[in-house]
Formats: sequence, structure tokens, C-alpha cells
Amino acid sequence: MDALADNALMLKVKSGDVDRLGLLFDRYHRVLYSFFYRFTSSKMVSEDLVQNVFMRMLKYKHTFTGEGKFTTWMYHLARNVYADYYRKDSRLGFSDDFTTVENSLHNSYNLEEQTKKDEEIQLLQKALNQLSPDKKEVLILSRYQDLKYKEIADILGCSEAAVKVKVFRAMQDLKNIYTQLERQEI
Amino acid sequence: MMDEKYIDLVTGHLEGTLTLQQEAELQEYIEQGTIKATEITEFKNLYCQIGDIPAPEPSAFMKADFQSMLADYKKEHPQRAPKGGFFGSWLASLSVPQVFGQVVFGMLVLAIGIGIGFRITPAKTYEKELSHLTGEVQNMREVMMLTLLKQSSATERLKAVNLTGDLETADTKVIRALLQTLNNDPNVNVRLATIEALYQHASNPTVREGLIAAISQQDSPLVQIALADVMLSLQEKKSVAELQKLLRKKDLNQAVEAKVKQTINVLI
Repeated sequence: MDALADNALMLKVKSGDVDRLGLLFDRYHRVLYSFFYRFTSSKMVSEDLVQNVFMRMLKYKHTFTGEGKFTTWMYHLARNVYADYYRKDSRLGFSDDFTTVENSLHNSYNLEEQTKKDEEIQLLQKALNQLSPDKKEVLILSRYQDLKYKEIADILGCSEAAVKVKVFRAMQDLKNIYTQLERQEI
Repeated sequence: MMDEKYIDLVTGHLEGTLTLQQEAELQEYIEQGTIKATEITEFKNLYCQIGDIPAPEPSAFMKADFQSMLADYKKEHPQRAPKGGFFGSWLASLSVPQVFGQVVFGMLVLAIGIGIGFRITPAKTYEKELSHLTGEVQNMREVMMLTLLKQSSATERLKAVNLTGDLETADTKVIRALLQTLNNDPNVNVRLATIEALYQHASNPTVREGLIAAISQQDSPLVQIALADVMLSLQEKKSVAELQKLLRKKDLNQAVEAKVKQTINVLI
């Protein structure tokens, strides 16, 4: 139902009723922001990239056919936007804004259990950032964006089996990096 | 290292899409020791934990930036007049301006809709049912929000706070829950989202008092600055005493100190 409504809205945008993009913005800007934030760890950059996605929706609205899900098309644009950003500024890693997450973790409960959990999450974030971009991407799409392997396959333009291989290998790498970091912490 | 021939079973287990038969197959491999139980548990734990990594909410400026981008686009690409179909061409033949035509058409549709509505359902029953339904949805949202706020995951609590944005009015229970979250939630991002949610109900005196009282209780620089911003935007002179109390705190962040001083100067 939602997918139909999204498609209908985007088709209206395509036909010139660009104000309808506002509804799609309301629906998806948070999801896209979270998508970019997982890669960049920067609030400001993520907001800019979200804006770029919606600008491209306007620029390339003629390419939207209405077949397939709107979100698949949206993530195609988002990946291209991110690829362009990555090319321009390949200095990826921890930016200043990452301190927000760190602060939130440091300011957490005094309870020992919570502190331990926070440390684990912090370590996991570090491990995720050390994954190769394609492996990180597949985990972001499946875990944060709540997409099914089939949907990820549509976005990445590969088979569902290939997505499973990517997820499996990404998880193996993540586990290895995480274990190494854990040892270093001790 | 787990063998890649179990990819389907492992990824299906992570995604939670295994059939009963596949679950049994996986269990069998684990019992045989072909797949290590610890390894699969570690995979699952890591996969679940990834979801707990917090991400902040986008700022309120995003919508404004988007709207200005859209306005620029519309200026650069003036819209072509949409084809009006039969009704449009009929109006055009009468030399009636298009906007007028759209208004007339809209009113016609509305009148027909109202007419049908009156025929189908007596107005009072309809209104009563609608208000009952609205009340129920509001209650449901409240219950959901209060339940989500108690979750251990920061993401869930963020969702709860954001749910309040959909509430037309916030009753005492909701306000109290939000203020409690602002003062006690361990996650900075949740607290920041709570400030934004409370700001929407700033006409309520309890909310304003709660926000003022929260100033000296916060230890995160981001939250302290956000509260100072809110006070500035509400022009809340009553907050000066609390802001001054904050200034007296030891180890106060320099940026916060500057922001608070500036806020006090503006408010006085």
C-alpha cells in the first residue's frame, strides 16, 4: 500500500507536481539520514547528502518508471550521491561529529552493566568503520534500513544469493575485527 | 571459520527467515559440531547489537533547507499548465481563468461528497464515530509511546519521543513522561529529541517550567546548549536564575559557558 502510494507520489512529481516531493521527504528523510550517518559519522555531511538525494530526485525524475519500489530507486540515487561524496572526500573514518555518539555513550548510566554494554557498542562501531565499504554497506542496508535480502539485491543490482554471500562475509570480517579490537582493549 | 556452504542457513538465521525445516537442519549441524554453536551465537549477537548503535536525529533545519531547495527548483523550472481534460477545455472555451475553474471544480466535488456523506450516514453518528476514533488513535499512540520509552534500546526510546510529534495534544501523562526522559535518560540523542518534542508543547506552563528546571540538571554540553537555545527562542526570562546556576558549575564546557552567557545577556 505504502509502496503504491510512494510510486503514485513520485509519478506525480514526475508529471510536474513537484510539491508532492515534500510528502516523500517527510517519509524518507530520516531513513536516508540514518543511512548516510552510518557511513560518514557526520551530522552535517549526512544532512547535505540527504538534500542531494532529493535534488537528484527532481533532476532525474524522468528516469522513474513506477515499476518496482520507490525505495529501490531512492537507494540507487542515495548510493550514487554517496559514491560521489566518497570520491571527492575519501578521508573516511571518525569525524568530529562522531563525538556525539561517543558522548552519548560516555554519559550513560553509571551502572556497571550499562557501561559494559556501551563499551561493547562503541567497539562494534569501531569494528564497523574498519569494514570495507561494500561490506559495511550491505550490513547497513540489512540491519539499519530493515531491508530484506531481495530488496538489497534489487538496490545493488545483483542476485539474492550474492547478497547472502556479502552479508556472510561481512559478518565474518566484522567478528574477526571485533575480536581483535577486544583483545587490544584488554 | 565457518564454511561458506552454510551461507543460506546462517544468513537466513540472521534475517529470521528460516523455515522450520531449515531451522531443524541448522540445529542438526550445530549438534553434530559441523557448525560451532558459539560461532553462530556470536554472529547473531553481533548482528543484533549493530541495531543498538545510536544515530542522532536530523536537525529541524533540514525541512526548511529542503523547502528552500524546492522553491528554487520551482523558480528555475516554471510548471507547465496541466492539461485540464474535458472540464478544463470546457472552461477554457468559456474563457474562464484556470484557477477559478479549479476552485469551482473543487467546490463541486466537495458538495457532491458532502451530499453523499449525508445520505449514507446521519451527520451526528458520523461525527460521534469520528471523534471516538480520533480519541482511540490518540490513546493508542500515547500507550505505545509510554511503552517504548521504557525500552532499553535507545533507538526504541527515540521512536517513542518522535511519536509525540504525531499527538495533537499532550496530556499530563505524556508531558510527565517526556520531562522524566529529559532528566533521566542516559542517551544524549534521546534527551535532545525530547527537548525538541517538548518545545512543540511550549505553550503549556508545565512544559516551560520543566524545561527551565532541567537546565542545571544536565551534564551533557549538547543538551545544555540545546536548552539555552530553547530558552532564547521562548524568550523565557524565568530561566535566567537556572542558567546562572549552570554557570557556577565546575568544569563547565567553554562553549556552553559562552552560549549561556550570551543567552543570559539577551534575556535580561
